[in-house]
Amino acid sequence: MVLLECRGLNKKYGQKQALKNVNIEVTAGKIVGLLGPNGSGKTTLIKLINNLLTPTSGEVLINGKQPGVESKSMISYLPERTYFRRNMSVKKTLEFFADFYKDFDLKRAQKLLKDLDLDENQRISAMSKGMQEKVQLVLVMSRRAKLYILDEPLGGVDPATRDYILDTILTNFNEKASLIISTHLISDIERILDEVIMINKGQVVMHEEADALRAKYKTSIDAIFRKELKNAR
Amino acid sequence: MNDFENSTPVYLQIAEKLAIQIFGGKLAPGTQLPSVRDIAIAKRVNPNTVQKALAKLEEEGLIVTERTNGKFVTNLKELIMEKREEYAAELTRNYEKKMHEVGAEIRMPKIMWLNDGAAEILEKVEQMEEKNEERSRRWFF
Repeated sequence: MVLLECRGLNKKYGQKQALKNVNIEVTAGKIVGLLGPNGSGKTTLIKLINNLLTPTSGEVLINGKQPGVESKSMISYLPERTYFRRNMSVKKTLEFFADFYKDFDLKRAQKLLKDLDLDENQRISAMSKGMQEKVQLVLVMSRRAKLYILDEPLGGVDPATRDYILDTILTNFNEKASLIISTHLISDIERILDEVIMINKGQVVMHEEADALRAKYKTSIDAIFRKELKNAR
Repeated sequence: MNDFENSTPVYLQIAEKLAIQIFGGKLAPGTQLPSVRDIAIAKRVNPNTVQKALAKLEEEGLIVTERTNGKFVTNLKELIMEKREEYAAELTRNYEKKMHEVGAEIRMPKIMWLNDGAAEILEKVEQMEEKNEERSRRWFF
């Protein structure tokens, strides 16, 4: 079953073409890495999928439908920046999420927070950047969504937490959902990926199964990615 | 536990690890395998990857699926032995290649790691070598 489809997607910011004729399909049960250098169009693509931007041309279909209220209830999205109220405690933020999203699993969120040594009574403003990122990821992963979209979830966290986050993604992942994870820290995540979408200068340059790529090039996704970028330059 | 190499398909690495456990008897014939999900969590990889690894082992006959009960290590011991020999042969080839690369001589194992038949052959080879040595020594003097 196709969960996400992009057809002939174009996005221009004034004269600048941020995305050019993007065609992708993501089926259910897949963990997909969206890889690309800075400014390649990853976040633009993610924002289009989340209906935060409108395409210049082409369309996005979530579960066969145009993005809207319904698609937002199906997608759990981790943006690149935190959006919490700084004076709220973690506990209040949890309540807020539980109130907002029908599919929010409060118990799961509480367990994950505990595993990560985060205090529910602490205010967001009193937390470090890394801690805030962890809270945000816990909230996003605690929804029972159809499509999870994580925009650079590993940037600010330490390696031990990175491992924990990847394990959390794996253990909470179900085969009816799909997960798109955008990052440039490829070597950290490549073991969990089913598929790889490489994007450069607004165009999809590669969309293949991770193990098929390793078999073909006899090297890591990370190395393939670096080489691909070098050749494109 | 994150001991995978990123440069070869992860599913092949998982299949190999499981096969080694079957060859070595850690997973005895007839043993039920953990669920795909449990293996995925233990190995810290994607369930789809584990599924693919199991499909490969099943294709080779090392594991079998019982319709409702899950996956088991095959009861066909000869098949396990046969596949083990193939694997051992490949290890040997790799070893020989590496030794060739470093310019060192292939070493015969002192411990009998093969079955009795092979051990006997090995013994005979050693005896012959000794004889040869003796002969060449005699010839030399």
